[in-house]
Amino acid sequence: MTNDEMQTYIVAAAAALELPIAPEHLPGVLLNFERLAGVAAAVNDFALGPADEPGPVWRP
Amino acid sequence: MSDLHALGALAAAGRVKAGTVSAVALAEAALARIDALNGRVNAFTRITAERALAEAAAIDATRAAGVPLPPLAGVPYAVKNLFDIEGIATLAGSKINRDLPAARRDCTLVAQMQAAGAVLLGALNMDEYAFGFTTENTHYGPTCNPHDLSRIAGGSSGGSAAAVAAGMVSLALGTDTNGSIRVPSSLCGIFGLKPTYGRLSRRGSYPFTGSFDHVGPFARSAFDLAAAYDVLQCIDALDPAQSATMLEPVSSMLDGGIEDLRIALAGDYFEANAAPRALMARDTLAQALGATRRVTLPEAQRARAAAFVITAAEGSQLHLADLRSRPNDFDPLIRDRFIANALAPAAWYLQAQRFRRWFYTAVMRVFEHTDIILAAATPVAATPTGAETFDLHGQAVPARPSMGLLTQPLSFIGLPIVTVPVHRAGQMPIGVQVIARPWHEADALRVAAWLERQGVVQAPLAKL
Repeated sequence: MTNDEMQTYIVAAAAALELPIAPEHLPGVLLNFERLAGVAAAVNDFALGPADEPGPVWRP
Repeated sequence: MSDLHALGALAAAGRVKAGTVSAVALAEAALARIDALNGRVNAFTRITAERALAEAAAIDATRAAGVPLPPLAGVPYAVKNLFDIEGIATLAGSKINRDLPAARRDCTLVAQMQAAGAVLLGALNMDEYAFGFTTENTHYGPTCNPHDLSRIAGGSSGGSAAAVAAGMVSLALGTDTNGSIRVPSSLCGIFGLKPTYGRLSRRGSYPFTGSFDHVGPFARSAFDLAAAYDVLQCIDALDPAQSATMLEPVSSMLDGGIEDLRIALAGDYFEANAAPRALMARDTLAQALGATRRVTLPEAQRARAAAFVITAAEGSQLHLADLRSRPNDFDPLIRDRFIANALAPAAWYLQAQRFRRWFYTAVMRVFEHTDIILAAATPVAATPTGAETFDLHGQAVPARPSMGLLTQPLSFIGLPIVTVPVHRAGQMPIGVQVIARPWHEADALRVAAWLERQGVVQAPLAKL
């Protein structure tokens, strides 16, 4: 995702969530979203199969 | 000032039971210590003096009536300010929550502590909404490390760790989502327990990331830590995240040997992300325990990344309404991150949750031939307050998120962990994680107690 694409996504996603972003907050939001996207890419690159389901509760 | 503040929890309770000190005297000593030090340490955001003295008087009256006293009779403690205390608004480190009505009842863990005879001294500082590792809270000021007031206490339960390290209380309660008990325990040089996910009731504690939120105690001794853990256990049908089915007290198991435990060192990621001082602390324990074998927790770096993504999505969704209506009331240190995180696509979140199960299964294979794993708790010791970076193997890494490098992959799958403190003269303390398999808190506490008996780990009061 280019920076322009990222900004376009952020503005659109914020609109979908009815989450206004003040102009003075936008640079910080962009920076943080870029970091999050970089972190998420490492997880998204990992190959999982259909049987790899979330298992949120650990049983004794 | 008397030296009653220096008593550990079991020692204090023992003296109350023996009648050599009253619970009221202990509470007054704690209040005096808090009054003398809190202006410099900034651990407490609220002091519950009236309640403390009333609870202490009730303990003394019980003893005077000849009724047997509960296990933590008269022990001073305090709680991170995200735990509900009847009659007080639950701040969770925020300005926004000041507008909430006062809690109508104590949270489950405070109720458990009260039933055990402990005396509540107040509420403790933290990162706003538990989103941080430093307790540099813009609204309430930073909590300072009692061992060096110019340095951070760690977070997000920084007030809890600092209050115990400074001898303001004998015990404290905190929460750990990505390291918020283990990081401040490490940096303040005390013991902390993050139990298995689902072990203790979270009811009445303000959430952060439901998938990883844990609650647990801090102490200056492994034995005190176990005593607190034992009284915190209960089966709480009203807590949707609790999955423990029975009480498993551990205090009676701490006096024996540990020869039956297969102990290994976490290699790879957990060594690459620990500075030499942190590795030395771990190796001090390894040498004492005769542990030389290394194990690899596969894909640990990706586990940290997945924990980051899940935290981002869940943590921000919880605050979406306030992010919409009053973004400027959030701590500026985290506001933009919360907004950015709220925009994370669902596909990222679900991939991270699916990977979580994969990682859990992979780590359980390691535990087929290992009972305890040792890893440094923080990459470095406490950094100066306000530091933006610290040095890790010659690279400047961002200080605030990087304090959780070694804790995040482990809370990600809910493992029980005791952080034990290593002190060296002239240096800041640093902690080591003693990691056990799920539901085996007793193994980690046995190792911590054995190390304490050998004099390898200890938590001396900060010299203030």
